[in-house]
Amino acid sequence: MTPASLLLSSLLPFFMVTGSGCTNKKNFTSESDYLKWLGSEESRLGKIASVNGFTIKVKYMPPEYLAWLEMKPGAGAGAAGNPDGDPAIFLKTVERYRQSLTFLLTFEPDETKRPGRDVMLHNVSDYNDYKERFMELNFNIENSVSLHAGNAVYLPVLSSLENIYQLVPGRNMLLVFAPPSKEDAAFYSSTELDVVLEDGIFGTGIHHFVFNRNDFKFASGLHLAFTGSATEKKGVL
Amino acid sequence: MKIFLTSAVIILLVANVILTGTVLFKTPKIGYVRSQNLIYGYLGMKEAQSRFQEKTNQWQTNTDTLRFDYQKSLSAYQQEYSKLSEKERKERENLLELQKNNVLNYSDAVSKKAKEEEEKMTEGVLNQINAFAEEFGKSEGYDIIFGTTLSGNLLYGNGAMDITDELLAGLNDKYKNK
Repeated sequence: MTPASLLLSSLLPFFMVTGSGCTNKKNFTSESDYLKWLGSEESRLGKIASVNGFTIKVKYMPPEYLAWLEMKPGAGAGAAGNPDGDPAIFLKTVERYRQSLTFLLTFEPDETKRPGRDVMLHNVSDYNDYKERFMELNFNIENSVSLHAGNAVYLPVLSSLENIYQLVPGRNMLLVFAPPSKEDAAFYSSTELDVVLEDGIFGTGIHHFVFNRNDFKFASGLHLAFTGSATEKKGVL
Repeated sequence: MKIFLTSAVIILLVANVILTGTVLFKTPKIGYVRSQNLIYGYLGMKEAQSRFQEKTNQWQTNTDTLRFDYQKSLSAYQQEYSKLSEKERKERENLLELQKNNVLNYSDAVSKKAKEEEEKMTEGVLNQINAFAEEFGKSEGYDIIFGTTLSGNLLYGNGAMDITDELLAGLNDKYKNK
């Protein structure tokens, strides 16, 4: 085996999501492959709107994936970690994430209309404009996004803009919604979940990203497993 | 052999002429929409207007409260005027002036904000309509879609070319995420 093929074989199967037992069948070769599927029409967990040269995506983040992110080796400071690969810890973490709903909101330039143009710089003419954009996306997004479930409306309890130092022209933002009480029937039982974005930044108007809770079940039923790495032996998931 | 070659060349030439003619003289597919009906029938516009109305109502309530407080203070001052010393009158007048300026400043700021919000709202709605019209035109094979406006850039259109209802239905379905 050549060094190149050895490297490839060790890298490719690093993250696998596979079917096993009573869980759903779906195979992925990498984490990015999995994320791509999450955002696809096939999974129905990713919704897209394209207006005014911008593409806005909202992607549902399954609790299992969020737990994996928190526990994977090398997770950032503050992450709980799971050095012994204890399944009980993992399940407890998943259960914690199930108390809320997390979505990834992405603003990107439409590559056919605004190729490579950083969304942070749209209509920005000076430092003050940039500062305003920065503040708006970092601290005021709660005023523009809401989750409608049944007759109830929820505002994000947490939003986090990914700082990527202009390496790519788009921006990701994690939005977490949680109900005021654990017995909130609308939040935990409504079939239709409508993430409403009232965009006052990019001139794209009001958007409804409607999810069906039943579609979440398939993603949650996927058994996440690692192959070809030390983490598999530790049985992190 | 020579006859065969000549026939082949003629056939190719004829085919070429037909193909070129088809491309050059293809009848373009044209449609038009009644812009006002499209815009005001669009659910996105209705929701945007309703949200804008909620905001302006809130701002108006705030302005009314400030104005009411000012009127109340002014009445109290007028009633107590005769009982107040010159110094007290001056102090109360200064306070009233400040209160009045606050009302005016808030009212101005709100008017400016309302204008900005309305512009943003209209911009968003029109961009959504334009994006869908482009998508619709491409998927339905339209070469041109005209829009009738109040300034009259389209004076007459045969009803058969009016695609307003079709476009509006698709636009609303998309808005509702259908």
